[in-house]
Amino acid sequence: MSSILKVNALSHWFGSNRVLFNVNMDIKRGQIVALVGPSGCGKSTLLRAIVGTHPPCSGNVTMLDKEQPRIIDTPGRDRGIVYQRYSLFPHLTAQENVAYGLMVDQTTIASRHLFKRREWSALRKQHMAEAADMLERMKLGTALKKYPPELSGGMCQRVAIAQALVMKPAIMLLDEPFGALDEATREELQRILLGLYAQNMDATREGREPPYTIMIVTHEINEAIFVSDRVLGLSQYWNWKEAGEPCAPGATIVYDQPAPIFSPDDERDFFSFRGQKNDILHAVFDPSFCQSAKEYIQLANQAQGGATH
Amino acid sequence: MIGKQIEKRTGLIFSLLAVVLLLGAYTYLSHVQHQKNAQDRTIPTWSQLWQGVVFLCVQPNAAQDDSADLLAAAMAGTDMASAPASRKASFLKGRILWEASRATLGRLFAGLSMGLVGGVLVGILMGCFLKIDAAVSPVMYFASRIIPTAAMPIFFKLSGIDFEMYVAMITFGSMPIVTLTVSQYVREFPDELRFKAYTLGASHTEVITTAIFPYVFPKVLDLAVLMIGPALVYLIAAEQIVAGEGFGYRIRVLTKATRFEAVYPLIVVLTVYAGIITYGLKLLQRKACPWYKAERR
Repeated sequence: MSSILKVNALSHWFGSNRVLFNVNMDIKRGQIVALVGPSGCGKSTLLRAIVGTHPPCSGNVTMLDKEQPRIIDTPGRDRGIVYQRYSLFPHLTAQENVAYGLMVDQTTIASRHLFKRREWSALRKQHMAEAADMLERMKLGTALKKYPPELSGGMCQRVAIAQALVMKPAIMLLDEPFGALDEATREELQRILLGLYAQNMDATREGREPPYTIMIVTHEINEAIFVSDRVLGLSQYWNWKEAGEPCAPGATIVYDQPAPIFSPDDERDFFSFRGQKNDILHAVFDPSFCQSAKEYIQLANQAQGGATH
Repeated sequence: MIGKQIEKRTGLIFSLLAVVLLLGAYTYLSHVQHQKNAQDRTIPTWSQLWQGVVFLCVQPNAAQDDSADLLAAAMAGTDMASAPASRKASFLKGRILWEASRATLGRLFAGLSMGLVGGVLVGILMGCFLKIDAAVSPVMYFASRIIPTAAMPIFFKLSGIDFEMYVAMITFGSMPIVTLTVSQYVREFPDELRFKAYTLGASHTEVITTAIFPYVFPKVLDLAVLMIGPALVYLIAAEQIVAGEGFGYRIRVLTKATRFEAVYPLIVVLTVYAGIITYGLKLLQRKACPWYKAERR
């Protein structure tokens, strides 16, 4: 399967505070990759570098979704993002929020208000219908006209996912999207992600390109293993002395393993993957465990296939 | 319990009670004052106030009998016959309240609109582009500390004592504060939403016009409500000094003539105007930004 995004020798620091060191990753089309790590290890910094809002101090992020690879240094519509907070425009209804991206992507201010007002009117109807359809698929058909402050946290996140999905981005980035939600809502949204992965599998079986590539940043290990087909661990706890570094150089990828694949209807049995959870806890979260950064890294080609549950 | 909610009806009863108490206290004070001096007009009785209201708004050609204007003319060393023609013509139109309202509200709307529009435009640019902020904010901070009423002679010198002067004074009095406040609102716009707009394909202009401006617009309306008070202070002060028409001018001359039975209604009407403008802005906020109430909750 082809690569869609590569992070090459990325390092980042804020003054004397070293955050990320020599981070490398290769995300394949159709993967759902979970990035886990201890608090403050730089997960969000890495995600910002991928979004393009905070370019790295050294190294780069390259998008490979088109023929010409592009080094990322600004945000672009090829990378959709869902944040934990402030995920929706408060002045737009759920439907308008989802249609917003279609509007700004397909039209300009001049075409909307000056030169092509009639065409814009027709296009707007089409966008709104598309948005309504996407929200129906997210089981939000009754909330189309509601404003974000009138929606629950779970509904807001579903709208935010719909807002990103409707744009068909090359990769969708989720920054701890379910962190503030109750357990039942969290599970519901996790199953939405599993549904997207199931569509990827169907597409692969039919010889089509899988439509969804997703990277989810989370501090919840069970969630990471349950929703993804590959888990990456970012940690500052690794044997940097062995790598010849004079002082702690920041977090790097210390864990890269396939995760069991679940279907949306599978029972959520965290006990079934307790072994992998313990490995992650050991390799990524345990400050006393200083391994070589490559000990738990499985080659990306092996990882991308995933392990069948 | 602190912060305990009350029923709407209970709130209304308390509000009415406060008004009744205020009116009762005024009636008592007026009564006591008229016991001491039956001719007193500093705390007029309700019947005197009614005469004042009639004088202001009903009586045709009221200004012909306007002893306050005669007094003003006398103090200026002239008499009504030799008063400037334009001023006399406006007196002859009669209905003082209409003329004063037209003059004061026209100046207020023009000045406040320009101050708000200019302030919002510059404020958004300052909030969005830090280079503009670095260049403009010291000037705006300095300008926001200038008291417009103290700088009035400069406005007289630069723009005369006509309509433009009042508009310039209100504009320059309100714009620096509006600019700095709006730039702060823009900086409060969540980074996540800004980044998200870009990832959805928005251009810089679209981020400003379709994401940032709608976000700050209801707050600008709140700000406009807050700016009505200072703008009226600047305006009435200037009118009291140089105007030939307007509430400030009328209040000054009527006060000099100790015709408080007409001064009080003028002040009440001015307050009512401010209240109507506030209500209009709040209504606009409710209709144009239905999401804002829920967001604030």
